[in-house]
Amino acid sequence: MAKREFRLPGIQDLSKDQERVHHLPKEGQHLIVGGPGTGKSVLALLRARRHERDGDEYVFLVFNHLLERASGQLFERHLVSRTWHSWFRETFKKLTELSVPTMDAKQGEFRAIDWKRVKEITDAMPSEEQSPFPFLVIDEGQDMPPQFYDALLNLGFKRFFVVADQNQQITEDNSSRKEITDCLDIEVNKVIELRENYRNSYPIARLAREFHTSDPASPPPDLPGRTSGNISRFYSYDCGRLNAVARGILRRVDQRPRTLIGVIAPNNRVREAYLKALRSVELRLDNPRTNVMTYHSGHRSDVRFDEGGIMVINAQACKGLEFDVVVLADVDDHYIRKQDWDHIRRLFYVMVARARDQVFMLMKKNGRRDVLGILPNDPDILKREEH
Amino acid sequence: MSEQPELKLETTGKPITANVPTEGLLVTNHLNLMYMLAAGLAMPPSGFGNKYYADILGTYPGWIPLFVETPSKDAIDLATSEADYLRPTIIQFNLSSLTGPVKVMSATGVESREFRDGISESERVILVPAPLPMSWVDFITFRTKEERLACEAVAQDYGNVPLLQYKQYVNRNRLFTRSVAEPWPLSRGSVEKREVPLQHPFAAGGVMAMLQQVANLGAQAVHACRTAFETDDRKLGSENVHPILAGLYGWIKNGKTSLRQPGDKAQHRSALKDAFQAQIFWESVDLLNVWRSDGRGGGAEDVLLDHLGAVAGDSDERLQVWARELRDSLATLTGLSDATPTELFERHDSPLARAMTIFFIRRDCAELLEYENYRLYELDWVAAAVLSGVRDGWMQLPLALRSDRAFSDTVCHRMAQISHQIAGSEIELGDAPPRIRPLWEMFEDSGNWKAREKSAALTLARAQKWDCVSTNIRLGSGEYKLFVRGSTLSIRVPGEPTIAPEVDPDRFFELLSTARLDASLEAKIRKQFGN
Repeated sequence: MAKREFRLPGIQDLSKDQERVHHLPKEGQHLIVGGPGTGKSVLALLRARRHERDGDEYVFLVFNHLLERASGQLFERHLVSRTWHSWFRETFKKLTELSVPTMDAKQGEFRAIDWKRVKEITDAMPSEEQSPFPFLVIDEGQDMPPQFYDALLNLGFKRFFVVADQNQQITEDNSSRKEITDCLDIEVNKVIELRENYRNSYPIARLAREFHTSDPASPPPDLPGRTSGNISRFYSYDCGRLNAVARGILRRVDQRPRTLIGVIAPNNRVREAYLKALRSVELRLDNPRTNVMTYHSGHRSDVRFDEGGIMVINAQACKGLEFDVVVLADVDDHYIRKQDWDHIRRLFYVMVARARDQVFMLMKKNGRRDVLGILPNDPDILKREEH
Repeated sequence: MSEQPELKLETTGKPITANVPTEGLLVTNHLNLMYMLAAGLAMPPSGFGNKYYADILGTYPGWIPLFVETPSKDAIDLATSEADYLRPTIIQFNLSSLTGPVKVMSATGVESREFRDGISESERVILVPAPLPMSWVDFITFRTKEERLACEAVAQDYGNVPLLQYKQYVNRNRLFTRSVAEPWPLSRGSVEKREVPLQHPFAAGGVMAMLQQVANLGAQAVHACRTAFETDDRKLGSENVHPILAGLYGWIKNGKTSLRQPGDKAQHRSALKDAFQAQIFWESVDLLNVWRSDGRGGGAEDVLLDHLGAVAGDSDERLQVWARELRDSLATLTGLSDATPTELFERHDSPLARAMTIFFIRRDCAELLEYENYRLYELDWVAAAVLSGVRDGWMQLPLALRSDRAFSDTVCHRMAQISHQIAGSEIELGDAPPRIRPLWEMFEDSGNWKAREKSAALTLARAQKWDCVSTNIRLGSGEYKLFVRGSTLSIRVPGEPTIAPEVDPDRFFELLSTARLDASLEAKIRKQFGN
């Protein structure tokens, strides 16, 4: 498989705001906020790279295993990365010699952290100076609860570099921008806002904007200055022609073997149908058949972000990831609960913003048509074709 | 950016003391410095996109202000005025090859001057028409060791800043500590704003780099590479080049191609088709150059699709069909395609079609160089290299494709020369450093290989484990005894046999044309040639 790795940006690629972040001192607490595609994760990786190069003790914290894997595999050096949850449990035990207190749970259920008890324990910790704590680089910092930051400060951590986007919260226990600044004692005017789009081409950013819900607390990134890029496409296909669609996706990777295509499915049934078609359809290719990977909750698989291929995942798993091309599979199968259009728009916003170069939307010709209501009609934003 | 000061221009009189400076000092900040290192040119703010930080380059747009001795403290302060994380740097340029009209500035005014006429003691700043090649940089000096190290660390976070290729010092010649307390600018006044052509030079730089990368493909590729770097077409000889490549010299020089028109209609239809392809090719190159610079419209692929669509309605009927079919095939590559590249190469067997197909499936120059397909010919690669070089331009190229300082110096010099030629600035930068000859050319020029070429070919073939080496063993006369012991066999011969490994040149060139050579191995081979 063709190698795919974290590419250092060219100097012309970083905006002045990003440069400001890039030059932040190592010490202190820093919060950087920005919408999807504003380059927050790239800056967090550059920060980790700097610690790595300088031989600092640091840890790169992410929300879940998939993001940990994506960050670690794309980093061209060894990235000291952990999921925040497991790292916190381990660190808490090391520093307090106590296990992290948890809430009661039914058998087999996840035991959530008892943050009230955590606070009682950490508040009681002696405040004398301890040995230096590692630098913390936290990606998607809005997904960690405010009590997490509070506890870390109580435990003696002082050096935080947090990147976050309030509009992308996916957990119940997340932190608002204000909660993070309050916890870390960051002056409001010291928070750096990234507004320029770094990841997406103009056509993708333009398409994503169609799905942005008007939340003044989290405006969408500015559209890229360069309007060039490949227009996103919407294909409707006959239900029985999924194999033809699968051939098209496989050929796309065959033509560009470094490309990682994310096929984002609305549910497990569609994910499995696409996975089966992509793995079994017969066709002629120039290169050896590409790796078709999958990942779903509760199932650990050897997904690889550092080589070209196809990754079939559910919509819920896509946040924070980045693909060269995104295929939104069977958009007609997205369940729109109680006409909650904002919910579905937010989901489409996150899914579309995963793409760097191009987005393809696929819909069965006989599928439910209500999702069409949120799709743009302008062919300069979404070109409609039949497959 | 500082305001344009009012200034009275004095154009009469020559300095009493003719003293031609050989160095000039540009005061800037570390981020502008790194941008210029990536671009290969010292240039006006317009070259920085949205990433220009105020410094003295903004005072007289289109001119490079160079202090002839210690710079003014105001100029240093200006360079760091925009953000608290900016660090001042001073770049020393070697001006020994510069000739042409410049302006000189003193505390009392600005004068136009032929650079070679020299300056007087009171004239502290020379305004040189931009751009200047970064190959002229003697050294870069930072204020402190900490700032130098911090800048080096930042540079390593970019994929295209070759800071470590340049000499760096800390407060060299005490330039920072001796900075003069004088205002910037030294005098009030206005100097005409100059428009500096940068779009074409950057595209030409990208093309030069890519043609160097593919030059080992064969004779046509070598010719294209020579053409890209040559400043005098009389030296190119009259090789029979394909019409597509015939436009290269003129395009590199000033963005204009002088394509040969096909003779009378009765001539070969293939000649007409070749000329048609060449025309489409160079028009596409121009459109891609505009696309890269202004960033408007769809993708780079759409530029080519739109152009093919336009020519399909504006030419000979059979050529129209040809262009339309090509357009339709290429269009499938922008979506979920139903054909493999090989199938497209089979369907469209012209160099233009194949070059465009590769262009569609390779996102940038680095990816293009990794591509392999047995259906492609030398000319296809060369044409694809030109298209990709224009799409990316010099600045987008990763350092891996321009890591050789001597090579990048040559390209930077040529880019600056091209800009001055287009602008008609009358600035002469002197001869460019000699181009780096591709290995193919070095071996081919040698005709019948002598000991040096044979040895270098053998080194290369052995390192690459190529199957082009055979060994001649000459035995003296006598009786040979054969011994078989266990699984080994040995022959005892009288005297000392000569063993001469030999490289088959035909096979060698065949293998060289498809090889990807490690930079250290290439350097080793060049050393054997005395380069």
